[in-house]
Amino acid sequence: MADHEPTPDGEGARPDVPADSTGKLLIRARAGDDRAREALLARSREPLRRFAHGRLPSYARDLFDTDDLVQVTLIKAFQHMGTFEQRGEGAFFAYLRQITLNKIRDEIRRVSRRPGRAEFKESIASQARSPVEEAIGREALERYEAALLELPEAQRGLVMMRLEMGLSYREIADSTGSPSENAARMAVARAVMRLAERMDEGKAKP
Amino acid sequence: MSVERADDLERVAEAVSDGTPVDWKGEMAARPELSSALLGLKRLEKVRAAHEGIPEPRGSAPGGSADSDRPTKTLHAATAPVSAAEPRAGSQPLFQWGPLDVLEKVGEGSGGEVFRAYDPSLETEFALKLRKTDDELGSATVVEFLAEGRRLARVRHPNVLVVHGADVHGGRMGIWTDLVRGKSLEAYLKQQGPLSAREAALIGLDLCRALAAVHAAGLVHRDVKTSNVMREEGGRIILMDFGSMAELPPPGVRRTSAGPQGTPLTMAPEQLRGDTAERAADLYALGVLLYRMVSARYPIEAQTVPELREKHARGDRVSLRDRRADLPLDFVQVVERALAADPGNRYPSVGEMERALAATLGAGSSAHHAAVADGARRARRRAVAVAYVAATLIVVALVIWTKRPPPPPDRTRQSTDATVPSAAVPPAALDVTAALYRRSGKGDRPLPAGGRVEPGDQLSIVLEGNGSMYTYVFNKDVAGKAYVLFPISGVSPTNPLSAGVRYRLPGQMGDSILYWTVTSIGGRESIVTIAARAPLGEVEQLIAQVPPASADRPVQRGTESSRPRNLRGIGGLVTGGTVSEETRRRLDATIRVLTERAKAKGDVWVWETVFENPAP
Repeated sequence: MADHEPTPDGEGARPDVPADSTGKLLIRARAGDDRAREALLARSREPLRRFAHGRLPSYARDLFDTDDLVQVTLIKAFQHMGTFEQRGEGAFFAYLRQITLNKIRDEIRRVSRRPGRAEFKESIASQARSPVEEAIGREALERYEAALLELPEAQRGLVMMRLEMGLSYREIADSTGSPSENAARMAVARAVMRLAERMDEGKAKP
Repeated sequence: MSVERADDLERVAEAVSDGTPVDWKGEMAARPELSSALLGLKRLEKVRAAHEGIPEPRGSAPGGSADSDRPTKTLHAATAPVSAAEPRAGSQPLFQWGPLDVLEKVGEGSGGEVFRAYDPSLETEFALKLRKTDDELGSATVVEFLAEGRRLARVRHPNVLVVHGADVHGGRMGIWTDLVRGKSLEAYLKQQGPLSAREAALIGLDLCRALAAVHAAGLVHRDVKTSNVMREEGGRIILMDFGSMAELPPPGVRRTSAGPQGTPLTMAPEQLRGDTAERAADLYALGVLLYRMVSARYPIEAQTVPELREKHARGDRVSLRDRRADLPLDFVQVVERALAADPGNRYPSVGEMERALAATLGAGSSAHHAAVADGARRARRRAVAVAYVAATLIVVALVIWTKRPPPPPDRTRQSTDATVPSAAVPPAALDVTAALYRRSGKGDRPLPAGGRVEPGDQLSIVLEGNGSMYTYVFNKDVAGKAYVLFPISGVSPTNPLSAGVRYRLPGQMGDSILYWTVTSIGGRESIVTIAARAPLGEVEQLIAQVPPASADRPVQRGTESSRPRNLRGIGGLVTGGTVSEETRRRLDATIRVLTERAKAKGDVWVWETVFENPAP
């Protein structure tokens, strides 16, 4: 049984020192550094929980809670971390996000396949909307997703981390290796602006 | 793109990213040429907000309570079954009602439908109850309805649903109120099983205060019952559904009622006879509510209204003591007095009843502490959820979503005869029956001592004591690791466990049933369960030093964070469990000392079970 006792020089001991970027942690974690794994895990959980909350249809929350979904997503993500291709900072969150979306889809499919639940399925149909879809509507959500894909990968990561996952600018700076909190804030605002402009383009196109 | 344009948009984009409010109308008016990008930003603001909310089941609203709240008895039919939310297309509101966008039907209650609605100018969601009526509205009806709205808006109390207004739009009368997210006491009862007297008393106190505010406004509620009281996430108790609320007649004037209103099983006898409901009827209904919260039954049960009236006339009521003999006498007395057939024999006011209820809680005990106790019993869940946690050995939980809860391993307290000794004469020795269970596909199965456990096994302990007891569960392994398995912060039940109640530990967190999960190989595991009549100082100290198998523990992080966060670890990924050699020695010594004390004095009970958990 591996034992990783927290040591004074471990992450968490020196709040004044900037934490490693997500990219560095990933490399270390894949090399078998358990502390890096833990740091990544700790860093991912709350953002992912928040994202999942926005995307989980209300009826599904009666069946399994967001925390559990995040749990499973993280287990899966870390199992397959070897296959994850590191392409720029922020890509890790995009990777987790994708696994979460897949997991939500799987669960919804699984539930609707369950036999003998006609009455239940009916109620699903009416409640299959996630909070985000509730907020802006299906069409706008589709445009949002499409516009997000059009953004350069680094900007996409920034939008996801800030708007969907609620990371602080400090955390974003740490994750992306940005020189300062303020630099991260500027980068996020620019990415958000770019995205906002594109959201409408989709509609204007014939 | 001009520099100015970029500046303006970027400023708004920053506000959206920061999460600070934006004056959209002002921005759009100032830069109409940017409206499409601004619209995009406004959508992004909504995307951000949608991810921000707290995960919570659908909101409920006045009158129509949300799911799992269907009436089960013929006589309980005043609350109509809740219909499923109606399908709708796109994100368009179902319809407009005055200033409100009506978004979703969340329930159906007495005489009306309840919707979730949004006021765009206030940017706030409300619950909107619309009266069901296709008839042309007589002006008298409208006047009466609006007057009712005004009366309700007079009541301002933290335990009473806030009514914002009443109006008529498009021929439909509506009343809009706060949107409460939580579950009704009826749903809570179904989920938790009967509560302890303490928890019920705490709820009763809140309702006494709520009713005092209602009565002070010159109103009588007339339909106080478990499905009309919401328990908000966080525990706030809110009295709602004023559908049948009536104004008190001016002193000296006798008002004739148009027939009984309310729910027969919870009605005072005088109300059932068709007399005007006075404040004393609310008091009676509160008595019924408390009775139900601790017993899941009604004091007088019948299949038809005539049968019910007859039983009332005969005084054919099952005493609360006969339903649950383990309840403290003072609590039973408060409930019984509220249930007096003659209104004159009940408490003269809810204030008096509040005082009597408060007295049952006694001094020196933490009300909050008791409020969460007793929760896990007879847990009937829609989802069984477990979380892997922090440990190399045994941890709380994993995550399985089944709709079916594990069957309770044994009978429940309610079905047994009243053989528990009176609380006033505690027996000398603490007698506890306990058994370990392992979860399997077919429910929880007993796990014999000395057996093998494997990673992935999900364990629980079912125990019941003959006295109120402080219970502690530890896990130790041969490698020197130790965990506190119970009590766990944030998990109910909490100490002390009540006498004569069958508990399943570790318990539950929110809606999730927790298990201890074996997550790795430990060679040999032991689980030590200690129960005592009074808190054990030595053990409580150890608990502070031994890491908990917690499903909700804060993780130390290097980065500073703007908000506190609770993270759940995954077994095997998060390390822990290492205790200092001294702590481990103290734990072992304490267990030895307590084992001796159990033999000698009997006021403590210790049970150690050892399992093999060998490497493959």
